[in-house]
Amino acid sequence: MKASAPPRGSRWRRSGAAVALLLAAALAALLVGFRPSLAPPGLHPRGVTLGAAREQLLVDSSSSVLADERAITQYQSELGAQIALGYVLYLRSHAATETIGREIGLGAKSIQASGPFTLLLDRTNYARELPSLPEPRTVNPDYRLLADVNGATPVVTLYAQAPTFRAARAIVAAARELLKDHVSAQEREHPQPNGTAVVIRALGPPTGGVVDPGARWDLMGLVFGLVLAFGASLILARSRRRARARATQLQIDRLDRLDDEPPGSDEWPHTRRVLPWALAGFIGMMFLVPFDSINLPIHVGVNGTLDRPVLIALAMFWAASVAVVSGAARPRVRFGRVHVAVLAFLAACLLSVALNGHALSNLGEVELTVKKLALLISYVVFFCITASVLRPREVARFAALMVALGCVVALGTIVEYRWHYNVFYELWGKVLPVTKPEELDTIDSIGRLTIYGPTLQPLELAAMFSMVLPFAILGAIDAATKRRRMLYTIAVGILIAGGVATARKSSLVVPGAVILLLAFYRPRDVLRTVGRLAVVLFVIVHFLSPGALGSVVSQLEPGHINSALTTTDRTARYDAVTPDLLRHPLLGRGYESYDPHKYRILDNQYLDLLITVGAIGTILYILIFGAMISAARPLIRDRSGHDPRRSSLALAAVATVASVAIGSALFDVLSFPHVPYMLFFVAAMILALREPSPAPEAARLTGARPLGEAGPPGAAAPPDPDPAIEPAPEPAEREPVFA
Amino acid sequence: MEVVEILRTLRRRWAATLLVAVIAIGAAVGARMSTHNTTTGAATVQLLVDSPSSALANLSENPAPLISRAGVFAQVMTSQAVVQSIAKAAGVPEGQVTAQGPYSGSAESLNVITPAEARSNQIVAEKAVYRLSFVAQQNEPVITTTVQAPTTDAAAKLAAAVYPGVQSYIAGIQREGKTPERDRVTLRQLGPAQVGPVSGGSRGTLTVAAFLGVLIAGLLAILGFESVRRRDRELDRLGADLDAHLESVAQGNPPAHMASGERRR
Repeated sequence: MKASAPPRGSRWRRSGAAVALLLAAALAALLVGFRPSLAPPGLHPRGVTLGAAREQLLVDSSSSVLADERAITQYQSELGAQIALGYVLYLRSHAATETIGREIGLGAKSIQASGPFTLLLDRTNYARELPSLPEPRTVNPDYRLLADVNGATPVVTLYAQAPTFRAARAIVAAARELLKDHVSAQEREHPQPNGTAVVIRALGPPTGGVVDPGARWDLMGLVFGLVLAFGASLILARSRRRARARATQLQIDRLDRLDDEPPGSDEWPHTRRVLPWALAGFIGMMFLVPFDSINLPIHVGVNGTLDRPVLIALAMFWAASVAVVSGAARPRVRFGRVHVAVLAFLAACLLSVALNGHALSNLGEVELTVKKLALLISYVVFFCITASVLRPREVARFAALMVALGCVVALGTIVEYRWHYNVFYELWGKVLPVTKPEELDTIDSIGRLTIYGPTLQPLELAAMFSMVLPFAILGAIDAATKRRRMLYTIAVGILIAGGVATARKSSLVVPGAVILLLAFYRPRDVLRTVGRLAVVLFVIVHFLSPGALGSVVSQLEPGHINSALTTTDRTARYDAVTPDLLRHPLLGRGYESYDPHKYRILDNQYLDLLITVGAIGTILYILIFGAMISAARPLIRDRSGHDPRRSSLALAAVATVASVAIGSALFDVLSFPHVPYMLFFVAAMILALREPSPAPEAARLTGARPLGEAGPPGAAAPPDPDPAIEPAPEPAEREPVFA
Repeated sequence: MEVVEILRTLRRRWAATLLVAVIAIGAAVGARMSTHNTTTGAATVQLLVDSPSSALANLSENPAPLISRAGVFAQVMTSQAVVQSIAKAAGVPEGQVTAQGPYSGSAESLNVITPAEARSNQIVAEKAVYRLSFVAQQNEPVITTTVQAPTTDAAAKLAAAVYPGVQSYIAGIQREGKTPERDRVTLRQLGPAQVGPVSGGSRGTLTVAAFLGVLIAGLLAILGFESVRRRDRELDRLGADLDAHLESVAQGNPPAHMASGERRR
């Protein structure tokens, strides 16, 4: 039947909305790239472009150290280096910065000057800062000079950054001339014996260029696309709201209750299906084995860490199951929004590498990128396999397994904190080639013991506990018996104690955020339970990890949180990476090609992604979290109370996802595989919860008929009964599976 | 969307699928061709910072000042003045040559956390295909120069130009300062440059990355478009059902299939 055409009014409305959206997007893009002015009317380019220039000066004598062999001794070289340091400090002075500002046409404004950075002078100054007067100068932070010396050679390197290359070059030239004038003036006032006067020798002309030639247009295009996509989503979401709500409700109505388990349902652990057991084994490895530090002497592509061969084995099992098994036991691959977000992110990562291949190859960074891409593909494969294998009723059992394994890891961490013995590395080191981290059991720069557990980073360990915590908290809330509630409460205490034993601020910040999120959805239950158990939890935590809680709390005190090196280092990075961000704003410099050991440790996954996969990749990364949360939301928000068990599990999973989203701002999550593997496992749990449980049916091989069923061999299994039409299955005796 | 459904959709949209495949192959070919001038050659050459009466041959000469001088030279050799001189001697455009030293330079610094101003200069220099690195030895007046270039021949040529380039720059200063012949700093090249090929495997990686990236993005776009259309149709149908239901309720006559909660096909 031919569909009837929409009414003319509706068509006009749609066209009008589309035109308005296009105009809004164009306007937003224009405002990002240009600054409008009314008098005189016009558009002025915004300062998103960076020009850079560099020049070196040699602090020399009239008989040059480069030319005359009598002109230098070790003493003279060191003296020259000290004089060079003095010149650098002079260039930072108010008088010098004002003069340079005037020289380059800033009028009464000074340029911003800093340096040296090779000597790290500021780091050695532990003097308490005294109250100081407000900055007397007007500084234009867009025009910047950095003067550097290394303390060993008499060479001053001048770096400049300005909105144009011309301005940057002018800053360097002005600084050079100013220094020469300053030295000449000093020598006129204090005449030196012949041949001992300092000569400032410029080592060639300034070099440099524009850091980000196309950044303005890239940013304008990005904003245009974002506004368009956001506006279109809003329009689509507003239209047919009732129909959408109805569709969501129908989807929820299709679901069976997890507590009503029919006999013979073939669910893990009461199953002979291999894959759930293999997944349980993988989860066990994830929690108990420092797999990232185990390099097996076998060749499996780019990296031979333990997770790769295990994952390959898992993939082979999965492929065999898809090929051989039929009926309900066969893995069911269903692509949803999470798959789309994950694959789109993978595509952006691949394209970022392909587009910057030339520069990456030039800098010798292709190998690093390939390793990281292989790791990302491992996560994607693991997610696709898990999402096709997990069944709704198994989610609760795997959640319980995760809580139990999390407690084991937390106890191991407490042992490490109290007795300086890493159970995981020591025990696995007896049977497998484990490489212990160099900083294991050492004190870090702010006096914290470095605790690793089975991971490669204390923050990774703290993040693991935060990810398991929501399942334990909701387990305690939903427990059907007192014994179970007590067990889950103890689990919550052990997990928090394990977290604070890592002595990282994140071990309290992230769980705090998780509890707030749980309280947002279930305020009464969560606040009542947490409030009731606060004293018990405090006692457990203090008893298990004495002193650790105080140490973490003291780091979070108002006077400390902003001054700790771990915080100031993070905030200092935001300015330092601006050139990297603007160089390739859309697709970055190549996925994870920003080597922290070579450039800078960022401790921030979002910042790292902005640099390496650009704004597009970062948005897609955030969309992965968004897709996971939006997939779980209808289950959490189910007003009909169709299945509280699904709702609880979905809420716990969302809190776990949120903890990783928060954790991504605190460390580079994707480089430490324990957390991403767990995240994708939890994402698979969410997808499983959205599906109805399969009908009880024993596993059979492809081509075999189910027992008692007539029909030709090879006939497809009967389709799932449409729950909207078929009556819901009769509830069996209620049997708690999670709590 | 199940796998079978995905395959059916792609078959139905075969023209778009074919277009995506063609673009993916084009991207792969483009990536392969664009990497033809990336680094494949490397060379190493060593320079001795010496006096006219060689310190190696003279037992009475203390090498300590020469070791200090080597450190200064290694730093000075990263400057544009010396880089220009080396580029001229090698016959390559000076804009395509960059250098890094023991502490700082336009190329990436060695183990130093770099502020924005210095990082900007490193980024500008990222695309230079000829890269030089100068490192002074700790206890000897020797500077080791490492060269990276698009081909082994180019690397050899640039490595061979390091000594004459630096020497020419120093000679210029000596002439300018009228340094007596006997006091002139003398540079000596310690044997011919060692040349070899490096990192030839990145081409295949970039080709595969371009192909897969475009293919995945393109297929997701097709499937996403189809999925939105299908969802739209379903919502239209559900909306019509709901409207009919509300109308019937308003007239006091709910349709049977809605009253029983049944979904109309």
